[in-house]
Amino acid sequence: GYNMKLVEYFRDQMRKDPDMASAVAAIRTLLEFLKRDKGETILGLRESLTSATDCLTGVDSSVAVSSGGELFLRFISLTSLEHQDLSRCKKVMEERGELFLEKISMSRTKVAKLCHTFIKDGAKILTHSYSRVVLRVLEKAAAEKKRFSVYVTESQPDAAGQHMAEALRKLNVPVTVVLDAAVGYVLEKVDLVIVGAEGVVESGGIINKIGTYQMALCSKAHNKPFYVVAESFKFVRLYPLNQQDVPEKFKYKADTLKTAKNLSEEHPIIDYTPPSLITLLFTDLGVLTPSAVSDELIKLYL
Amino acid sequence: MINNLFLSSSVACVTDGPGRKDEIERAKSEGKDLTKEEKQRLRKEKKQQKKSKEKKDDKASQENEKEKKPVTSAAPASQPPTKPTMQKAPSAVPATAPVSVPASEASGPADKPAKTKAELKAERRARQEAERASKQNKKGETGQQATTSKPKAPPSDLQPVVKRLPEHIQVDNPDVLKKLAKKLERQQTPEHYAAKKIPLRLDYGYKVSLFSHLHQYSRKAPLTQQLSIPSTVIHPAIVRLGLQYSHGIVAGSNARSVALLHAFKQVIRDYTTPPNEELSRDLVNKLKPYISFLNQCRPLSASMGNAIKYIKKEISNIPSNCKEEEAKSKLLNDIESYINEKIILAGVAIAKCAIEKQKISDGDVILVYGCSSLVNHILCEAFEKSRKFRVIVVDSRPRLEGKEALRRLVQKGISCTYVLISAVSYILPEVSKVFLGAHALLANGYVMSRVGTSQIALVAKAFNVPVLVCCETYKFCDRVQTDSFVSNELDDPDDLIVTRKGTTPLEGWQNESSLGLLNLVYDVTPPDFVDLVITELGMIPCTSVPVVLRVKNVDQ
Repeated sequence: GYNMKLVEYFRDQMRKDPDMASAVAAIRTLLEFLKRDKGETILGLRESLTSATDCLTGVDSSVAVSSGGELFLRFISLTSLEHQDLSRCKKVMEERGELFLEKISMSRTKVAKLCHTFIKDGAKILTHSYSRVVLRVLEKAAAEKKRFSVYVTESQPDAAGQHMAEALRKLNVPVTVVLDAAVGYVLEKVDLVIVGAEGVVESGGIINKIGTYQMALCSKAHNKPFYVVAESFKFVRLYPLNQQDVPEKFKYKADTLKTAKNLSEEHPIIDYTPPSLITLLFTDLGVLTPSAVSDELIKLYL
Repeated sequence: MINNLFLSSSVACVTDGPGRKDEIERAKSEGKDLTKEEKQRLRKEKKQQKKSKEKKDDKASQENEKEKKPVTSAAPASQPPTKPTMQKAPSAVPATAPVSVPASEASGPADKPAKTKAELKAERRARQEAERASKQNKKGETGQQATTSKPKAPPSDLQPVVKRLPEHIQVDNPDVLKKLAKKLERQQTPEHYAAKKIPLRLDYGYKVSLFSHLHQYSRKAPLTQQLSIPSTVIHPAIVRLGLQYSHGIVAGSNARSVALLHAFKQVIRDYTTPPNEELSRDLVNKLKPYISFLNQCRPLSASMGNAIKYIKKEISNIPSNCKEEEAKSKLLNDIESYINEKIILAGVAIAKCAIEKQKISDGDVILVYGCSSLVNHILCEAFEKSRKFRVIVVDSRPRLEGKEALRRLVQKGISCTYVLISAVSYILPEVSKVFLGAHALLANGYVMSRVGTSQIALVAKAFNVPVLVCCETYKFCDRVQTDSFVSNELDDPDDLIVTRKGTTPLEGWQNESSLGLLNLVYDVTPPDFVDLVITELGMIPCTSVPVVLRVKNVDQ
């Protein structure tokens, strides 16, 4: 019953603002959950929040939801050390939660401000699938009266690339949709590659829509810069060594995980790009090299 | 001598009137400055004096003794940097005036050797005070003052700080060797002099030119042969430990550190504070010759260095009002907890991290090199948690440490394969992960480990196999190294000689002028070849080692 309400609220949030990141929706849901929680102990609160996060990942299995939930939980545990009285503690948590949400709603703007300077006039950009952060960056660059053209991969199986192309046409940016298989073909014409990320891992690598790894490998071979734009709440405490090491719960959609009998027959929808292929990461914490991500994660989580 | 001077000077104070007041005040302000600069200068003087004393011990010339005594007695007089200094200084200033008069009178008619000790001393004092006063007037000069005995150019602030190379990598420089010999001689209790000292171990055999700056010892000539019996300078537990190190009985980074700490515990248990000495200072001085001895037996590892730093810090932090028994038991507890936290529990945490974060999964083929206690522990733990994997143990001459690892793993029931390092590129396509141990992790992210490790990491990278290094944080050191030449260890070259079917081809290698045998112990692996470092703080990329060092320094 309680979980149903949670899921409903989450879906509601996603519907109301399609531009909002799924992690933000998750955090908003958890904050609401916190406000409505009738628990008496901090430990009980933490447990119920963990189960709520698990419930949410059951709806949307992306890395971002899990990382957002974990960040919120860690942030809660830090607050709980300061006050003894539960109700005052909760009040402080709610206030801080609101502050946190406000801060991360500004993060896309910060990223866009940092990244648009790297797009020179006359540049040809390659991007992958539909990313709201990349869209925001390109919006900002267009607003700065820069002339550039964009190549977008179609990004099967959900053809999200078409969605991106539509959005870009509305900005009057010349855009071409290419096949996923044509990445190597088109790279010689391109000046730089910008992709979003669903999660940024401890090694400095990223987890993103399937096809990103291929694109990164080709860019490395062509010596083109490969830029990643991601907000800081996407930093996650994972350390995959290769594709196989990424936990299966992230690789497939939530419904597939529940219904499929044999996962090896399903197609994974995300892949892992190692840090050696990434030139720079643009986050609201600044412009980072992949090795600096671990430093930032240590600061965030410890 | 000193008392006479003060009596005479106090008399002088009373007789001289208010005219001396400003001089006294000036000397008082100087007295404050005297403390640091004077201490430095006088310490240097003392050292120089001791050296020249030793040299001239054979030729006992009166003149030199006379020359030295005034300075050495002047030195301890001003040394204690507390209030007495300020009282002594103003008393010294007016003392110079009346005393210098008879000195100058004496210097006129008499020749130099005819001067009495007191006059020489007073003369020297006068000169020092005058110089100090003149220096004080010129502002902006740094503290070093040219003394009369050894004129030195005072270093200015503008000179760049000269970084000196550590002594253990300057073996081809004869001056450094002489300094080392002198240092070993001096590290002894004051009662025992020439006979019972720490011997200097001599290098053995021809050294390859690229590595001639390192020591190369022979196992057949252990340092203990040169020690006299009974060796009162070095504790028997330390002698035993040194022998165990030099013969390779205790080998491996963790094993050496733990053995060292246990030996130090024994030393502390048997230690009694001599009268008029403080435990916190005396014990540290007692440990210095032991550390030099162990260093001569086998160069200290980074982990041992960190452990020694910790012990020295703990000893010097003991409050002076602490009773001896309390202090000793506190130190023993500290050492015990260091071993427990930094080595044993860290190993447990690392194993837990590796297993829980799915770094060892079912169906894995794991490659290990040599014998790392930590890696063996991780694999045994994973096997107990019923992970299904098999291990490939890579081994190399001359140490053949892989045999020990193989023995331990097979005993647990893990299925293993054994190859020599020459077959590594053949076997790597089968491997899913490589686990390596580390001797030390350097501040620029390089991994210092047994020779051959960097080779394995390189080949693994070429085959796209992930390389994981397991290392406790107490092995992290502040050093920076980019190649294996600068600082390494040369083992006994005779180890490379192999006898097959009764014949030893390399038997007469010393007679061949153009033949050198090189038995390296360590090498460094660049961070590009290492994918992950597992420490008890978590999993970090190789480039984040300085972050951990920074966090650790903040904690301390």
